[in-house]
This record gives sequence, C-alpha cells and structure tokens, in this order.
Amino acid sequence: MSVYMPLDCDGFAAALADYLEGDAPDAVRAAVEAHAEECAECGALLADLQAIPVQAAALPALTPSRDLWSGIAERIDARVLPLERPAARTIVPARRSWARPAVAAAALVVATAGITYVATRARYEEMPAATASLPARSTAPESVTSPRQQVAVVTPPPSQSGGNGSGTTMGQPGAQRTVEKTPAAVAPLGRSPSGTAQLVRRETRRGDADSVMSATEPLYDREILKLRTIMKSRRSMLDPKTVAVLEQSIAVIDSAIAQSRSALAKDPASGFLANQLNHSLEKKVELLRTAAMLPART
Amino acid sequence: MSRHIVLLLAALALAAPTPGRAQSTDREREQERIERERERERDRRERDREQAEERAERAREQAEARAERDREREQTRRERELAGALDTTVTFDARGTVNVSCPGGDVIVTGTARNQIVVKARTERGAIRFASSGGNATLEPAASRGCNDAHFELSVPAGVHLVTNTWSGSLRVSGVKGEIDAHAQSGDVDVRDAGDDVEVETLSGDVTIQGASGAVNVHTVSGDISLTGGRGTVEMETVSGDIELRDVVSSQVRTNSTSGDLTFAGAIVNAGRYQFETHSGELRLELPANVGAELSLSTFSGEIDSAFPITLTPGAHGIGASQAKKLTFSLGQGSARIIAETFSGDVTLTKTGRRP
Repeated sequence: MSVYMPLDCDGFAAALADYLEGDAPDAVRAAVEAHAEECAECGALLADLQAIPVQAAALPALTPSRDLWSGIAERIDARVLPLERPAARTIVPARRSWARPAVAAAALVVATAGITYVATRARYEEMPAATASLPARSTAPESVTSPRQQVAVVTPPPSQSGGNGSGTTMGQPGAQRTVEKTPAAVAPLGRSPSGTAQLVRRETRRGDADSVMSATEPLYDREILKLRTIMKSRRSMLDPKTVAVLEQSIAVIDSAIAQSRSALAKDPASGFLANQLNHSLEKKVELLRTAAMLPART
Repeated sequence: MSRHIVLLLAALALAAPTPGRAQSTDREREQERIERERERERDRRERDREQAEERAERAREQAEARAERDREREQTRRERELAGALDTTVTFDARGTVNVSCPGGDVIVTGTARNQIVVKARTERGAIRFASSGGNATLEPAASRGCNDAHFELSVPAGVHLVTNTWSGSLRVSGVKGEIDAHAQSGDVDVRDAGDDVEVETLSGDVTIQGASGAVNVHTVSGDISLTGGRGTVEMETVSGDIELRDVVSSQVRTNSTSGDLTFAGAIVNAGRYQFETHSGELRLELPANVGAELSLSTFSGEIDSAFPITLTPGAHGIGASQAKKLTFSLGQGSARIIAETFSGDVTLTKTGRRP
C-alpha cells in the first residue's frame, strides 16, 4: 500500500482508473483525494471526470428530426474519406497520459470502423464484378491503360515503399493532398462502363501514375501511426509476453504488406493484389486496435 | 577504715564507667545490626520487586506475542476462508446472463437442466466476489488487482448467456445453449456442445469448439482455431494461427489469415458461400466428391493443386500482367460459391476421405 503514498501526478494517473471505478482500497482513495487537493491540475481533472456521468445523465434523450443515414451513406459513396479528422475533433483532448490513449483509441475505433466499412465495401463490391467481367476485361484493355483513368491502387514510389510497410511509410504528401483536396474528382465506387472492376477509380489531374495510390492507404497509414503511438505508450502496462505476441504478429503482417506492395508495384492494375494489400492493412489496424484496447496486466 | 572506704569509692569510681561504655557499644552494635538487617531487607525487597517486574514484563511480552500469533493466525484463517474458497448455490433465471472474470486462473462452466448456479471457486490468494440478482450473476476477484492461481467451477442453467474474461488461464465451457462470449489472452478456450452463437477472441490462446448449432465467430492473433461440427455461420480471423474446420455444415463460411494455414473439410450447401483468404498460409479444401459449386481460386505465387478436374471457361485466367493465377470453374451441379485467395500460399483441393 505504501507505494501509493504520497502520490505524485503519475501515481495519481495510475490510480485514477481504479478510484473512479470504486475499486481502489481505502488508503489509495485517500491518497488520490489528497493529491487532488494538493495539485490543481489533477484536482481539476478529477472534478471533470466525476462531473461527466452526472452531466451526461442530465442530458435529454435526443431523437433525430429526420433519417440521417441516407445522407451519411451518400457521403461515404462519394468517397469523401477524411473520416478520422472530424471524429478526432469531437473528442475532448485528454490532459493526462492515461486518458489520452483511451480517448484516442475510442476515437480511432470510430475512424477505423469507417475505413473498414469503406474497404470491405469496396472488396465485396469488387469481387463478383471481377469474376463476372474477366472476359470483358480481356476485350477492353483500354480501360486500364487510359491516360485519363488510373487505377487508384498503386504502390508508392520506391523511395517511399522501401520500408517494411509499417506506419513509417505514411505521409505521401502529394497523394494525400490529392485525395483530400479533390474529393469531387473521386468517382463513386463501382464498375466502370467497361465493366472492369477496380477498387477505387478516379481521374487524376496530373496524370502522374506515381502520385496515385490507394485512397484508403494513406488513411490506413495514418491510423496505423496513431495506433502505434498508443501501443508504444501502453507497452509498459502490458504483459511482456503479450507485447512479444503483438510485435511478432505485426512483423508477420508488415512482411505481408511489403510483399503485396512490391507485387502491386509490378502489376498496378491487379485488383486481386490491391485486395491482398487492403486485407493486410486492415488486419494491421485491427491488431493495433486490439492492442490499444487490451486490459493492463494484473 | 576510711582509706578502705576511699579505695572502695575509687575502685567503684573506676569500675562504674566501664559497664556504661560496654552498654553503649552494644547499642551501637545492635543499631548497626538493625541497619544491616534493614538494608538487607531493602535489597531483598528491591530484588523481589525487580524480579516481579521482570516476571511481569516477561509475562506481558509472552501475552503480547501470543496475542500477535493469535491475531496472525486469525487473519490467515480469515484470509483463507474469505479468499480461498467460495461455495454457493443460488437459484437463477434459465435465460439470465452470467459474467465470469478470472485474471489468474482456470474457469470451467457447465450447462445443466436446473435453474440454479452452483459456484465452487478457489484461489491461492485474493478474495472472490459472487453477486447474483436472479437474472444477472457475476463471479470475479473482489479486488481490482485480481487473484492468483484461481480455479472457478460453475454449473449454470443451460440457456444462460455466458460472458467470460480470462487472461492466462484456460476456459472450458460445455453444454451451455445460450450465447457465449469469451475473451482470453494467452489462455486456451474450449467450447463443447454450444447451442447458440459463440464469439471468441484470444490473443495467443488456442480455440477449440466441438459442436456448435449457432454462428461461430472467432478472432485470434496467434492462437490456432479448430471447429468441429459447426452448423451455423462461420467467421474466423487470425494473423498466424492455423484454422481447421471439420464436419462443418454451413451455408456461410469465411476465414482470413495472414500466415496461418486453413483446412476445410465439410459440406458444401447449395447456394452457400465459402470464402477462404490468406496471405502466405496454405489453403486445403476437402470437398465432397459430388460437390456442386462455382469455384474461384486465386494466387499470386502459390501453387494450385486439384483432385477435381478443372475445366476452365474460355477467357483469360491470369490476373493482370503478372504471374498471378486466377482459376474460375464449376464442379458438378450447384449454386454454391467457393472463393480461395492466397498471395503466396498453395491451394489444394482434395476429395473427402482422400489425402493428396
């Protein structure tokens, strides 16, 4: 028990979750309360956290005035993708180190669920089309090579894909900017008039194939980077064996991502390879999300 | 005569002080004796008092030590009683929800026909808390710090919804016909004779399910997954664990792994959809000889080996300009779809009962 007393800010942060859950032993409760009185910042945090359920309970139940889903679905179909930015903005910034990963993880669940939706939707719509259109593709190759139409799923240039495919390859600023600034140019998901199935199709203003990449990939990469940061900050809270399992699995996925990217670089038109890459990216996000949500060691 | 008198008087005078002096010396001696006596008496009393004090001190110390020992013994007894064991039986709703959380130990849950929960829980250290409101029961460590070397054994009404959280210990569930949600980290999960949907998540723990009437949804990171006798929708996802599906009769099966292998040996239901994806794992599909399905096998650098004759429909079967292969063909009469995709793993089709 003596390890809790007296508490510094870090100790306070560590004991706070148990305190709020009502699981802290009396001595720890006392220590937490004592520290909250001494330290203005921690005291304010505690007061805020205690006020949240009270204020939330007082909120009236809201009923949307109209069905919002059709509008949301339209926007998803229109491939306006920067999902995680508004989601992240709505979250109150956390002041303490313990709260930041938790809040960020929650925000990312929202954001990555959106990506997963987009990616899986793309995959499932692509699949039957791919099979059905095989003969069509052989007779209409111009749809793939047309200078005005590029398959969006292309590996980043070698200078940026040289890594192991982890979050460090994030930040293809040009491509990212293109995606964000030209949402109107991003065509709705689906089959092209020629019947060729493509994961994401759009017109590029520059006509530069190297500047084009998966519309979902920069998003994945950003999520991966953020989740990686969370995982790093939670590393000490997890069991070393758990961390080892996670690291090994991430290495397995990274190697799969690197292989898919390198294959895709040689065959940029392959929806199959794009699919494989998306699977692996999705899996990495899922794994990191799991890691971010894992309960701390006991 | 007078001289005699004078002499007598003189003699008397001389003799007279002598007895007086002698008397005085005696008194002094007596006095000294008494003094000594008193002193001895004081010493003795002093000694006695000291001895008594010492004895009292010793007695007090002994009493304190005894009390301390008793207290410790009592505390140990209470701890053992409080922490070590919990045996209880409560009546419980046949379709209630049972939550079991065991951070450091094994859990065994058995479904029975009786509307009651019987708990037998033991821990080496750490108290156990069991709370039941008739329709909602929770068995967990009393302290947030968890418990060590625990062994929780419960029998529950077969129809309950079971929710478990285990860490390194194993979970064994049998005969629970309600929904099962199991979360584990490194501990294995073993479910038998499930009657409703089963959802299992582990990190490195292996998952074995034998007999499941409802949907089975399993996610692991490195744990192996085995399902025998599944009758509902099957969805399995892992990074490096192997997936084995045997005696599965389901119209919807989907598996996905990064490096883990997949073995599927089951029925292909008319209009069913079977989708197997992996990056570098092998896909081994054992299909009935009379299977009726449209198959679509894709691999980038793996081999495709089929015990069934493959009649390719006219058209291109490559994928893009690369070495990748995609084979689309039909077997028998039937509208089921089988999709197998690997990046570098091999795809092998065998007929049920025959090994390649």
